[in-house]
Amino acid sequence: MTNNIKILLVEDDPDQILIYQSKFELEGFFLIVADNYKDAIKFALYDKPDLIMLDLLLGNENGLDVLDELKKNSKTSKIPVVVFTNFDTEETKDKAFKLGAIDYIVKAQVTPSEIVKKVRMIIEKFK
Amino acid sequence: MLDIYTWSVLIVAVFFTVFGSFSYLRNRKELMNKLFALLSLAFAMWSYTWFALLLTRENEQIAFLWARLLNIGAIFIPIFYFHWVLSLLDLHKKKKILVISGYLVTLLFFVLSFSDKYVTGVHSILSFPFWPTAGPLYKWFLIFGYLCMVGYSLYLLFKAFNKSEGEKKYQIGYVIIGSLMGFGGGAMNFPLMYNIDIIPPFGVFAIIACPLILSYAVIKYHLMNTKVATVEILSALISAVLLVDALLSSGTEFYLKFGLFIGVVIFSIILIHSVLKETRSREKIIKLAKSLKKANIELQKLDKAKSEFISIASHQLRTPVSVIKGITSMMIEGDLEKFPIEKKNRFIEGLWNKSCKLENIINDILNATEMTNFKYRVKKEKAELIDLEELIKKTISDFQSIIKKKGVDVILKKSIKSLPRINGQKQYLQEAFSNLIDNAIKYTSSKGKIVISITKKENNVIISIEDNGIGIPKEEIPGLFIKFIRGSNAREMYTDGSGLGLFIVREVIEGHYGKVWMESELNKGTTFFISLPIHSSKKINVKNHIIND
Repeated sequence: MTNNIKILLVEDDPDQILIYQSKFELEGFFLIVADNYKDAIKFALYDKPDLIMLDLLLGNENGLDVLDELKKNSKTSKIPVVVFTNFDTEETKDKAFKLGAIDYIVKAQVTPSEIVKKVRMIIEKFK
Repeated sequence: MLDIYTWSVLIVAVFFTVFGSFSYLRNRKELMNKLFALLSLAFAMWSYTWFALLLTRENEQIAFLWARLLNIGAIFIPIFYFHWVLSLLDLHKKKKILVISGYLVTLLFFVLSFSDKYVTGVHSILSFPFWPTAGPLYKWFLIFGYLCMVGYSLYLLFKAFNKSEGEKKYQIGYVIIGSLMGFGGGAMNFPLMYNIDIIPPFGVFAIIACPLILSYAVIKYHLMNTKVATVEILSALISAVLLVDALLSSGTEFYLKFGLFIGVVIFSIILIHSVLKETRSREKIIKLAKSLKKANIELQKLDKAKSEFISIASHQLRTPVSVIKGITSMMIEGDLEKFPIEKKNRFIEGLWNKSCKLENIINDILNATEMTNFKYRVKKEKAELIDLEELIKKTISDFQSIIKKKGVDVILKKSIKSLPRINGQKQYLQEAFSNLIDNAIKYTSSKGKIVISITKKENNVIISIEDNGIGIPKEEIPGLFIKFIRGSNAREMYTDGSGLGLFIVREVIEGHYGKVWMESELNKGTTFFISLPIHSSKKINVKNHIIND
C-alpha cells in the first residue's frame, strides 16, 4: 500500500538524510531527496510527491519562502507540506501555518518511527 | 505731566538697564553676555540722556550737553552690536581684524564727538523744544555705524538664519526682529537732526520691544528654559513699571510705591530662583530619562539578540541530538540489523560526527559563558611557544571537507621566511582562528576566495583573513564582537553561527594581549585582522598595526 506513496524530503545534512531515507524506505515509502530548495521546487513540480517534508534552514535560503512558493503555485499547492526542522520558535511556527503547512514537527522531539506514523496519518487524512 | 513719548524713552532706558544687568549677572564669564551688557549700557546711556533732553524745556546750554552725551551713547551702539552679533554667531575670532578696526574707528568718532562739527547744537522741531543738530562729521558716523556695522551685522544674521536649524534658527530670528525694531525705530530720530520733519520719531515705541526680544534671544540661547525667561522678563517688566511709577510720585505715595517696588523685586528674585531650581532639576530628570531610555534600548537589543541566540543555539544543539536520538532509536527497534554492514557503519559514523559536533557547540557555549564571568587571560602555566603558521595550516585542514564541498579557494600567504613563535594557549588560539576561518567560509559564496596572510610588524605578528563574501553593514561593525550579535544580513542568511564566535575571538586575542579588528564592505567582503605581540608581556599599540603586504 505504502509503496505507492511518494515523499519528498528536503534536507541537506547527510546524516539525517541517511536516517530518514533508510527508515521511510524500510516502511515501504518511496523517498525523493532534495538537498537544496531549487531542487525541492523542481521535484515537487515534476515528481508530484504525496507529501513534502521541508527543513527550514538550508544553505543561504529560508524554507518559509519555498513553502510560500509551493503554496502559491497551483501545480504544487495541493501537496501537504510538513515542516520538519529543529528550529522551534512560535513566530516561525505561526508563519509556517499561515503559509499553509499541514504540520510542524521538531526533529529532536520525535524518533524516525514516530515520524513515519505521523506522516501515515496525514496521508490517510488527505486521501 | 509727562507725555507718552517721554515715558516710552524712559521705559526703553529702564529696560536696557534691567536686561543688560540680567544678562551680565547670569553669566559674567561669557563674552556674549559681557557684550550684551555693554550694548545695553550704550543703549541705556543713549536713552537716559534722550529722556533728560526731553525733560529739558528751557535751558539750551543744558540741552546741548544732553544732546552731546546722547550721541556719545549712540557712537558705541553699532560696534558693541556688531561685536555681540559676531560672538552670537561664533564669528568673533574669525573676524578679529574687523572687530579691532571697528573699535578703533569708534574711538575716533568718540574723540570727534567733542568737536563742534559732530553735533553743532540743538534746535526745536515738531513739538520738541530741543533736538540735536547734526554737524558735517555726523553723516560719516551714520555711514560707518549704521550702514557698515549694523548693516553688515544684519547681513551676517540673515545669512546665518538661512543656514541654521532648530533652536538656533529661532534665536537668530528673534535677534533679527529685535534689531530691526531697535535700529529701525532709532533711525527715525536722524532726519530730525537734519531738520527734516517728514516722519515724527515714533520709532521709540518699536525700540521698547528691542531689549525684550534681544534679551529673550540671549536668555534662551543659554538653554534656559522658556519658563524661566518668561518669568524673568515679566518680573523685570512689572518691577520697571513700578519703579517708574514710584519715581513719578512724591511724598508718602513715593515711599509706599517704592516700598512696593522693593517688595516686588525681592519676590521676583525668590520666584526666579525657585523656577530656575525647578527647571534645573527638570533638565536633570530629562537627561536622566534620556540615558535610561538609551540604556533600555541597549538592553532590549541585547535581549532580542539573546533570544535569537537561544533559538539558534537550541537549533544547533537539537540537530546532533536528533541524529543521535534517531540512530539509537533505530538501533533499539532493530532497524539497523536489517542493513548491510557498510550502511550500518555509516550510521555509526553519523553518531560519531554528531557527538563531536555536539561537543564543539557545548564547548563554544561554555567558553563564552566562562569568558563572560571573568576576563580571560592567557595562563602562564598552560602557555607554550606556538608556531602560528603551523597552527593556521592545521586549522585550515580541519575545514578541508567543507572547503571542498563549497568550492571555496583558501590561500595562505606568508610575507617573511621565519616567523617568531608566539607564547600562548594553543587550544584557545586555534579556536579563535577556527571561528574566523569558519566565518569566512560561511559568508563567502561558493567559488569564493579566502586569503589568509601572516606577516610581522614591529613586535607583533599580524594575521589577516580576507574573504570576498557578503560583507557587513558599516553601522553594525562596532557591535559584532559583542556576545550574541550577528550581522543583520548574516541573520537573514542562516548559517551555523551561534553568535558567540567573534566574542570568543576577541576574548582569546585580548587574553593574549593582542588585538582584533576588521574592515568590511557590503557585498565585497570582510577582512579580519589579528595582532599578537611576540613578547606577550608588552602591551601593544593598535595604531601601529598597518598591514602593508
